[in-house]
Amino acid sequence: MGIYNILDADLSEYTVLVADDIELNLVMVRKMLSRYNFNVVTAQDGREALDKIAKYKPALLLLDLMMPVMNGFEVIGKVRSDDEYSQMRIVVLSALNASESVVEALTMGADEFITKPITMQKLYDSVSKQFELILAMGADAKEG
Amino acid sequence: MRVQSIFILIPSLIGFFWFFAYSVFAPKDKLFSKLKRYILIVSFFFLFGFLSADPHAKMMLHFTLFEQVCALALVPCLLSYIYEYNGLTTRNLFHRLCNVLPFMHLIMGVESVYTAGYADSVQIYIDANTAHGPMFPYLANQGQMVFYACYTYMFGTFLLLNFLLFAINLMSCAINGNCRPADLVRFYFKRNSRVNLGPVMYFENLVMLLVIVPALLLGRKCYVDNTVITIAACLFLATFVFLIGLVGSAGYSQKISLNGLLRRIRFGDEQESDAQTVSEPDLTDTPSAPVHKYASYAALDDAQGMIAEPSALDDRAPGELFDESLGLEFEHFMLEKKVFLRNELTLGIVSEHLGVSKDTLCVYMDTTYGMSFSNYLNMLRVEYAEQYILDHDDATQKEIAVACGYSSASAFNSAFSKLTGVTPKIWKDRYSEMSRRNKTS
Repeated sequence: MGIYNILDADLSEYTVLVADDIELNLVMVRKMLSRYNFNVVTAQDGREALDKIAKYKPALLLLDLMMPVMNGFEVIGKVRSDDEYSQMRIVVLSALNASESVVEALTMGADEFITKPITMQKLYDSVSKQFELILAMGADAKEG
Repeated sequence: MRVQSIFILIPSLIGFFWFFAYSVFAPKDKLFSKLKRYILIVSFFFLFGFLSADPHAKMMLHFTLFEQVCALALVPCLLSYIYEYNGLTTRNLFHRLCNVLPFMHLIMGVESVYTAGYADSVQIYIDANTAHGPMFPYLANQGQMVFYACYTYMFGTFLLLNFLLFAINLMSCAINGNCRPADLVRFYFKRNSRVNLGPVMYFENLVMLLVIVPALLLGRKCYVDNTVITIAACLFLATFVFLIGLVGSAGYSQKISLNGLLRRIRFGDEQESDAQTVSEPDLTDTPSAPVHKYASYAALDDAQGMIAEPSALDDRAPGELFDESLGLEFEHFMLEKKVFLRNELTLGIVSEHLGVSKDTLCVYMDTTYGMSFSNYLNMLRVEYAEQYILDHDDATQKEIAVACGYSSASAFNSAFSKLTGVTPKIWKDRYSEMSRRNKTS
């Protein structure tokens, strides 16, 4: 399934959470994601992100690492330690480009790491890929 | 070319030629000989309107305010004129006012064109219940110009029609919004506040109606019968309209496009308009309605494709679709070569590099990133600074600022604090530990 199929797919039952401490980033990512038809919610710190995860149970989490109150690594740790969210896909969006950070995030359970600055191509490729997996997992679960 | 500029250019040109021709070829009786001079001046008024119809205006708020000041300035002039020539009586006061009001209405017509076109740039939103949006008063005012022309031709007076057209305007405003004083205050004093266009026009028309009704009751058919005041008023108003254009063209809209207007009129998509202001982004808890957004996006694409038209002056009109390859080129130019770190980078440089107009780029920025070019640039620089600060422990603020594309440490500090909510120093203290931990783990 390619990007255009994901764009056409009915994703209205899914929610994507975007967590970033910079408001402009949230505005931008939200705007870019508006071409998909899933719900988008946003959070500006790690604690708020966890609250929103509990509230909206997003299928995909787009997570910045450097956030106040609770940083992105801690959020990944919390999410991955909870079985309820084991299916949730996590894509890290971070300005940190040191390989240690990438390894750390992926080791802790992130599914993908995108280095900022975010471009349309990076974001659409990643989100479409993640949703292909989410839809595939959903189909498997139904068949199972 | 934008639709609003077409709407102002064409009537202005038609108005100019029509009035000019009429003033030259009109029958030579007593009434028309007076009217002739007047019409000749009006034709130049239209010409000024045409000359000033710069489609790049964005400062609608400013020139609305300016108009009000000018209108106020006109009052003592009028009173002084009336007093000098006729003695100040209620009856002739209204007569004189009625002679000038048509010009005021023409101004309002021009203003409405701008208002309708540039509604977005001052964040005037269309009420979700209002299917017509600002197009209605806008069209009503266009209609006014035509009616004025016809009526003048037939009767040599504006008065009765004034009343009729005020009523139309009033109706359009009643449809468009209510009349709350608080909205008016917000409109004038808070540039970025989102207010409804309706109250402003409603208020204006209501006040003018209060003048017109007694004039109808007390007055008789009136026409311009004093050359001096006519010429003075016309020149004044023509200059004023010209100034509107100058003020307007001093900047250019970052936001408005035919697409935006169509989108709002078709879908009442307030979600989109909310995301435009950085100061109050739409970051509510409630998930946005997905199907609606998707539908409007698809339709927006259609609208963009529909109105795209080549222009001889500019490769791409502002409303034209900024195609995907150009979008990629934009990101490539900005990011891959790290051009955003160059201090001298401006919107003009980028648009020139891409071979598009500044307007096109602005519209693209808004529709794709939901923010202005300068905000986007700051965002990129601050993101870059985040990593840079962690990588360069001993760098001074000035060094960081320069490395990140800022001319001074204070400019950098200000931009950084605005985006992240903390100063670079606090930020460094907060995250350097986290970064070090990752490196050693």
